[in-house]
Order: sequence, then structure tokens, then C-alpha cells
Amino acid sequence: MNAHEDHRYLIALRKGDNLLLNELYSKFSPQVISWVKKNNGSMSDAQDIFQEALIALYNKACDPDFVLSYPVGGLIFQICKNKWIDQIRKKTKESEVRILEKERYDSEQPSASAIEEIEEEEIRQTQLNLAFEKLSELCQKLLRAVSEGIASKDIAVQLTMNDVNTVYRRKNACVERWKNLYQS
Amino acid sequence: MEKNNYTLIEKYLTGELNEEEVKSFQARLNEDTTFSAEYTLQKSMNIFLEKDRNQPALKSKLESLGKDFFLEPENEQEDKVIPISRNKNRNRWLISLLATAAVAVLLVMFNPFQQNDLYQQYASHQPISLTEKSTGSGLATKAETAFNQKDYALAYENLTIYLQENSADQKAQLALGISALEFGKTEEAISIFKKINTGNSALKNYGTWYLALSYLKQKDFEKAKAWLRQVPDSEKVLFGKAQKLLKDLE
Repeated sequence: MNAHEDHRYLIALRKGDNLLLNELYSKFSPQVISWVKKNNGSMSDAQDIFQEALIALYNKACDPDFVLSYPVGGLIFQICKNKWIDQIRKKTKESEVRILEKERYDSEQPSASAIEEIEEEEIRQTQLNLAFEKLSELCQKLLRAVSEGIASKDIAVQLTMNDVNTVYRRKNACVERWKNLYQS
Repeated sequence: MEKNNYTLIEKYLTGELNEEEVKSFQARLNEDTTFSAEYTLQKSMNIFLEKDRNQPALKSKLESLGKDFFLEPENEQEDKVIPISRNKNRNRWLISLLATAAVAVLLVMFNPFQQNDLYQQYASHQPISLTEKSTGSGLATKAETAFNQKDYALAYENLTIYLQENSADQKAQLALGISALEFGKTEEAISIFKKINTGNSALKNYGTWYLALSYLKQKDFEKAKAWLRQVPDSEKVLFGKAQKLLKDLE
């Protein structure tokens, strides 16, 4: 699929580009504010949800395979709606949720699969986070250092490991452990 | 889970496989669901680690933007703050009226918001970011730092050189315009903003806004107003600022 011109917003999120981030807020927050307020939410609920939605988008911005082929505004709005429905479900009556629930499934949007992908990634990230926190401090440091692109020989020095081979071995063990924790 | 897969996937993600290997890798992704699940998880782990590094900075940016854009409408707040009951508070009313009048007189006499100060009042520039995480050239970083520290002379110099190599960088062009404007090269700034304004970039409307500011600085208020009226209402923050400045000018 071809990239929509709004894909630049994903790049902006990844890079932390102030001007485009500003534009994301100015263009797309009003719709979210008015919808959340209409559905018993406050301004600060809207703000939290909007921010969460952007972070969910950020996840996918870091995914080399993800190409945004739809206007980003619709995606953000739908992600925000879904998030608010989930929150309301936690604290309010079934009947209210059922009315809102329709909003979630009524629309047969072409972007439904993209939204699903973004939401799945968000769940995976939460679970990976829980698993990561259970890793030893050494594993956490090691994985972070590798991901930062620090050379193995420097990592060996920093984390007082014998040599580069130990770094590789430990890293693989940490990754395995992380995966196992995630899957358990 | 196989160790070999891990290394293979890592190589694919870092672009270390040759064309043949990439083809067979992608074919395997389509056919082998276990392999493709492994691939997805490994990608997510990479995403997690990248996010872990960048999220604090991103979050603080989003939080500060959130504060700007998720505001309770002003009149609602005022409604709550000013209760008006009749008799009891009449004196207080009178006092506050007199106080307001006194302030108004003072303002007329020593107007701190005279039009030549309007430029200062409105010329607050957002920080720019020109550099990508790891690939930023030294020059872009220098220009960015100078600009964000409001050293516009240095920013102007660095941006000029930077743009010789990266002429398509719209943000850098905008920053160059702003630097020129702040640095006293208003005519040059105007021609830069005009280019941005007639182009088709995402920053088009910033071009419009800064043209207005440039003319404001030159005290050509009619031209400033004309440009202000062209800021579209879709650009919420700029539009708000433009409307406010228009009022101040009238």
C-alpha cells in the first residue's frame, strides 16, 4: 500500500518534530475534545486520551513495516473513541456502554485493520513492559545499551564483563528470558 | 524459539541480508505463521527499547502541547469566578469600577502595549528540531541550538550554510526566515516567508503568520493586517493569535 501524505506525522512523532506535533494537536484535538465531552468526559480526560493515542501511534511509527495509508485524523479519532469506551466500561453502567459500543463497530472503515494493528501493538508493548520490569537490572542495562548502538566492547567494559563474547551470550540469554516472561 | 531465527530476523531488520535472502525471508513470513509471530515479537521488542529511550522526551513534549490545546473555554471559567449579587456588593463594585477606570487612564497615558511593542509581544518562536536522532550533521545541530537559544545571528549563519546542502528542508527555511527577521534583515525575511507561503509545504500557514509579523515589525500595519486575515481558521493556534493581533491593531 502507498503511504498517505500524513505518514509524515508518524515520522514527526518518532523524531519529536515540534512544528508537526503542534499541527497534530491543532488539527485533531478539537474533534476529540467535543466527542469526549459529549460522552461524559472532561477536558482533562480528552487530553489524556489524545496523548495516549499519539503514543500508540508512536509505537507504529517505530515499526519499519508500518505504512500509514489513511488520513491520520480519522485514525486518531477512532483510537481515542475506543480508549474512552474502554474507560467508561470500567466505571459506568452497561447500558451507557452499549450505546457507545455501537460507535465502535458501526463504522466499517477501510482503516479498521490499521486501527486494530495499532491497538494490538499497544497491548504487546504493555505486556513487554511488564516482562521487562521483571528482568534483572543487568539484563535491562545490557538490552538498553545494545539497543542504543553502543559497541559490544564498550558494553563489556561498562558492565564489567570479560569480553565481547560474554556480552553476546548474556544478551541472547536476556532476550530469551524476556520472551519467556512475555509469553508466560 | 530458535536462536538462529533471532539472528536472522535481526539481520533482516538491520538490512544485512542480500536480495535473495530478503526474498526468501519474506516468503517465509507469508507461509510460516510461527516464524511471522516470532518476527512480530522481535520487532515489538525493538520498538519497546527505542520507545524506552525516547518516551520521556516525547511525553513531556506532548504534555506541554496538551496544556496549550486542551483549555477550558475562557468565558466558562470567568462565569465561575465572578458572581454578581446586587446590594451587598455595591460598594465593592464601585471600587472595582473605579480601579478599572484608573488602570484604563494609566494605560492611555503610558501604554505599555503600544504598537511598536506589539511585535515583541507576538514574536515568540517555537524551538525547531532539524536533526534526526543519529544522523544529524554537526551543522544542523549547531543551527538548531543557536536558534533555540535565540542566538539568531549565529543561527542565521549556520542555517544559510546548512540550506546550501539541504535546500528542500522547509523547517530550516522557516527558521532562517525567523532568524533573519530577528537579526534585522527584515526584507530578506519577507522574501523567505513569501516563498514558504506560496509553496505547498505543511508550513505554508506559518509563512503567512510570519509575513504578518514582518510587516508588523516594519510598522506597515495595513499589510500586516492583510496577511493576518489570510491565516486560515483550520490552523487553530495561529488563527487565534492572528485574530487577537488583528484586534490589537484596530
